[in-house]
Amino acid sequence: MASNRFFLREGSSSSEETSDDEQQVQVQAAKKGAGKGVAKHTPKPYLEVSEDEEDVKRVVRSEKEKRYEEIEEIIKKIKHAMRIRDIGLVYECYENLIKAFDKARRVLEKDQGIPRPFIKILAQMDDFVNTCWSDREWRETLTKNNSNNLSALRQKIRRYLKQGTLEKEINAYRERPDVADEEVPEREASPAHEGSERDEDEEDAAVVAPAKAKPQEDDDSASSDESWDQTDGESSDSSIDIDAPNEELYKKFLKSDKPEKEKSTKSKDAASTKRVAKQRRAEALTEQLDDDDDDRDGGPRQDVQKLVSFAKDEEITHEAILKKLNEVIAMRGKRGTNRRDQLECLKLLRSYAEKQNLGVGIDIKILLIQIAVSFDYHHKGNECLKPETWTRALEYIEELLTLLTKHEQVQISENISEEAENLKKEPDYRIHGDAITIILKMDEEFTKILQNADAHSQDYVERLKDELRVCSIIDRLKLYLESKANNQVMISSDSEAGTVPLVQAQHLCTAYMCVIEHLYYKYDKTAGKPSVAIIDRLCKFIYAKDTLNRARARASLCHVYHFALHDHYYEARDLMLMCHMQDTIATSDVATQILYNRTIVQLGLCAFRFGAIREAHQALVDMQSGNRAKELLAQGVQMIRNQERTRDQEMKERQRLLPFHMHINLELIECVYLVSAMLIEIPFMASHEYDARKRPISKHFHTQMRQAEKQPVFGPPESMREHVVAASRAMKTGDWSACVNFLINEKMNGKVWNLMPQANEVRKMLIDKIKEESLRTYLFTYATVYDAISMSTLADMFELPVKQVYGIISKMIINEELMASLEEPNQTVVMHHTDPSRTQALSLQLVEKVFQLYEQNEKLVHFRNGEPNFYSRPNQ
Amino acid sequence: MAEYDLTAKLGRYFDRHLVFPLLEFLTERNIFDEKEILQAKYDLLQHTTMVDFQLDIYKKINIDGEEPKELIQKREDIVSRFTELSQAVQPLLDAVVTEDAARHIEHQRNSDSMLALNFLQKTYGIERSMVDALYTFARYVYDCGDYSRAATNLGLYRALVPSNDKNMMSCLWGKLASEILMQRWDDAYDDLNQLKEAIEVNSSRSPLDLLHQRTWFIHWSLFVYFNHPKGRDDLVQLFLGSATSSTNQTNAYLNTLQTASPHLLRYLAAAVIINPRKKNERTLKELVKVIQQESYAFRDPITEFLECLYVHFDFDGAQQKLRDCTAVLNNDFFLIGCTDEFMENARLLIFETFCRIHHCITIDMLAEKLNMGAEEAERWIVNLIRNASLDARIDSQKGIVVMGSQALSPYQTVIEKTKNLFNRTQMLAQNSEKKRDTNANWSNYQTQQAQAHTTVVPVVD
Repeated sequence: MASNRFFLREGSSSSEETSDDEQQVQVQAAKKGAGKGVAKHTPKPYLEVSEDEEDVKRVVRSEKEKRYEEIEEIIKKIKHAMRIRDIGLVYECYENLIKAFDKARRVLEKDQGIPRPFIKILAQMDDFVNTCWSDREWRETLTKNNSNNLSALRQKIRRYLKQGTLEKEINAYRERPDVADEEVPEREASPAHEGSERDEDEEDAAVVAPAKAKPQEDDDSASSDESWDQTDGESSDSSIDIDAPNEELYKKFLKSDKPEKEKSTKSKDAASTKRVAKQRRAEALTEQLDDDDDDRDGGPRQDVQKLVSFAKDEEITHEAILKKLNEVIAMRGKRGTNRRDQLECLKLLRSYAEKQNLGVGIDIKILLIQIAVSFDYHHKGNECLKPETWTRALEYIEELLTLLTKHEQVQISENISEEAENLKKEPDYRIHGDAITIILKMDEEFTKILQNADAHSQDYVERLKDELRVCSIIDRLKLYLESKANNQVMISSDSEAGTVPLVQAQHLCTAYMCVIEHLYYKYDKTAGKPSVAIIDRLCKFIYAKDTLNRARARASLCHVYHFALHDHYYEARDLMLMCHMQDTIATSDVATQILYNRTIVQLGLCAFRFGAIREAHQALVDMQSGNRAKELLAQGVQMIRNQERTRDQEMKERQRLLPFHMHINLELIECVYLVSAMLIEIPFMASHEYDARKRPISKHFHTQMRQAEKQPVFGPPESMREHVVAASRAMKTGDWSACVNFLINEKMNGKVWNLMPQANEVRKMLIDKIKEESLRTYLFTYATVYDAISMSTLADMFELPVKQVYGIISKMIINEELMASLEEPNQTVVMHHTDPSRTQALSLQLVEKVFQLYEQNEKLVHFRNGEPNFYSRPNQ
Repeated sequence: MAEYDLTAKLGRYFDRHLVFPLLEFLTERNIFDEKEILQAKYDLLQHTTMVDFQLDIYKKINIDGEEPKELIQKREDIVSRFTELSQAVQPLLDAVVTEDAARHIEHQRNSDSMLALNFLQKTYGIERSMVDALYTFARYVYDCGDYSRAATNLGLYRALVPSNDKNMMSCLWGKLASEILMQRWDDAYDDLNQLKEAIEVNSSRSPLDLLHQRTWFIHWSLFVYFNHPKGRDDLVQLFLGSATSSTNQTNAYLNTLQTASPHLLRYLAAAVIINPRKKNERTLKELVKVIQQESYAFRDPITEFLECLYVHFDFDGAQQKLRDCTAVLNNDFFLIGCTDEFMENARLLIFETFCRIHHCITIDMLAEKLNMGAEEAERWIVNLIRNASLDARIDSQKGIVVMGSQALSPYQTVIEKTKNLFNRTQMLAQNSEKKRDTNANWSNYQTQQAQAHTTVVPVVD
């Protein structure tokens, strides 16, 4: 996953940081990459990723060598071509080189950087092209083709070199071309980095060629920077602030190249930050790729440390701590602040506060900031937290909740303004902040983490273990809020409104919703199913108290889902009907729509388990038609042919995906759907053999049947679909035992039925239904052959009690599906043989058609006359 | 039989005064302890002003007890309040009896204006506040148990105020309750329809409020529907009416029944069974569907009977349920009046269904299914055959009934259909012929015009 994530990030972040031109190159590069397999560049569904990873592991040695060789080969060629000034060849080789490099990229990432020869050849080519370009006379001698090549090459190299990391490397190389030649990539760290980088930003518009003349300057400015750094981090910040416009700053902020930085900082302030450095080194490995904003430079960090340390004689009071705290907070979000350092500072501050016994107020205040900082530790849009940061954040939150529950007098609310805070006095601490928001944020982050983990790896399981912790945290928050609400704790808000309750109903709703969202999809195995009651209580509270429609809608959907999950079919159905979601769902937000789809599916599954086949079919038919179940349930991104999606769209879709543990098994859905369709469709087909206006009930089922019929030979069924198709075939002839055997066997049990909590009952229900429908099919199909048939024979054939057979046949007779009647004294069914023969059926059809013709005529006449009531209708 | 008793469920939706008849009925049936019922009555009266009645009951509960002081006190209060209120409305009542005013009021019934009130204001100096006092008075009188006076006063009030008055709904409800309690079913029937209209017309109600109103309505309507001759028909119409018409929109009252009060299914089912069968073939199907849907929320022998008969085709079960039904019907306040009718129709239902399925049936078996003796059953069937409601013959030697075959052969259907078709086509052709003739002049004129036009064109060319 690591490599994947890297590409993901590079794609998205570079598009932010680069100018338009560069973006084009990016796209080109991406396209080249695509030629060899999109897999490497685009994020994929979890399923395939694992394979991919295996692949890499297996070939990693040879691949690396291979790539290097390839590149070297090309470099040789280029050198040769340059010597003979063959522009065409250079151009071609350049293309190859870039391709090869792209291929090699992943391998290279592991080696921490770009190989020196590659940099070198790029620089050489750049020079070469520039000299060629400036040599006008020679240029005019070129053929048109070659001259085109030259200009194209020049463009391309320029663009290519402007890419973030490359640019630095090239400049680094240009500064010290001779030394670097033999050096290993990692060792090429240059202290001048910062400056050069900045430099390039400034001269984005300038031609690259003159850059060669610049290294000297760069070196100068850089060293001066450094000296500032050592003396005063903040001033260095400000200096940078001044000399570039905002946007540029942002870029710089994002750009990074850690290894070098690490080295340079280490050498600079070895002693003072030793502790931090040690820690950093330990984490450096894991964070290398992600923590790009982590360490702008070493200078400020040290100063931050200083910032919070108190002079020996200084008295540590609330004010002092607060002052320091505000300084730290002020740094938050600023460019160049190091979040890790901030956390360190906060930790220090807390320990000071604790030592001086300054009370919980200040403790909580700092804790709140600690949590906030750890959450924006990796602040880039779709990035998730690293496990370490995550666990740390969890710890902080747990600590916060413990403090809040322990010290009842503490009031925390977003209604308290910062000015009205009271961190000192014992009786009632008043703190600005909102625990619920924090918990929501935590929840969100957790989802992100799960989304980013590979669902089939151990990693996911590890991450998922935190679900328990998250749930317990939410529970504790709920309890805390409830106790506050029950005690009717009031706070005097600073506005004119006077006092408001500390915990309002809306807050409780939000917290409850959070609990519900974590609970509704879980099947409660404990006896008595307490979770149903819990959900019921929470949802009812939300229905009554909530003022936002969204939460109410979601709550009712979750409620239905949970009912359905636990086989409370009637309750689920009635609630679903009563909440009228169908009317509004089309206009609600996507997340709710997804939840709606999930609920409908769950309701369908529940109906099936309950034995309500028709309802199950109806609920699932929308999901299965169009083959988009995966997308509709947000359980994966469907690749639709002939439909390009922009990166943005794809990102959005990806963010919507549900974590794996919430998924509903797609095969189960399809199987339940197909079986339901079979139970409805097969008897229907049998009874309407000659019907002219026969319409398929389930298109999807018919497609499956047709597909199976195309096969030249029927082998024993393998997949779930094949099983259902085979079963349907058996049912067509009324062979119920074969049908049952096809549907209920080892394979199908493993694939489908065992996924249901009450598998045995479901199987029993299914067998009953199959018998019943087979009997119906049998009667429809073979009624013409019999004159009379004894009911007990039928009962034997289908292993059903006579009474049930009697009931089924009676129903068929009443509904006029079967032209027959019962002879009570000897318990037989007498067929009336009014079932039309072929000719009769056709003539009946003809009559139908003629009737239609007549009706059309009538309509036409009326229409022509424009007076619908001109004629009194005949026979009416 | 207590398990099938619905009084507790129904009582929640009734006015206090309406519960008395129910309790009275229960006392007669002797299924509950008499003491308990008396106590319930007493509690009920606690919130009304019918002190005398309350005292009576109190004496029944505590046979040798003293009359409680607070009740005596209460009575005095009530009397004084009553005189106070009646004095307030006396001028109005006096004014209304005059001929002039009566004419105006009568006149206003047709137009929705304030004419009558204006007239009263001008000639008799009746204030608007006095009309409001009339409402309060009526309400008080109702509470005291003087229903007929309440009904008159409420009628007067309704005549005087515009239909969007804030007390209008209460007024309608009160009038209906008074009529019901006085057992004037015709008036009650009219009031019921007015009330229904008022509920449906007012669209500004919140859905919840509307649901409440409708729930109350369908409960109160039971009094009327099971006592008024046209009632049962209307009851069926109310719930399953729009379902039988082809519109797809669901019936609001059926919805209300399903959401708020599934126990009313008993009455609906009974009404459908009792209603003449021929008319409502589809209502029955609809009802069975509803019963199945709500089977988890409410079931009693009557719904189960229908379920057995039309879902499971379990005739033994149906017959068993029918036996239970008798007990239920005899202990139900609303249904007791139609037990015999119900049994007869239910039997017919069983028999009819049976006949549709079977080709030949032994009479003994039929008798058993129908819950009657063999002789009686035979006579019953003979009667049916004679009345031409059954196409069958009795083979008395074998003791079986043989049904006439009812199936049409395809040959016949084709003929039937096409014969029909021929006529209709001919009619159509004739009609269009006629049409053409009537239009002939016009079309001739048109063609002439067209010709004239075409003749002109070449000239221009």
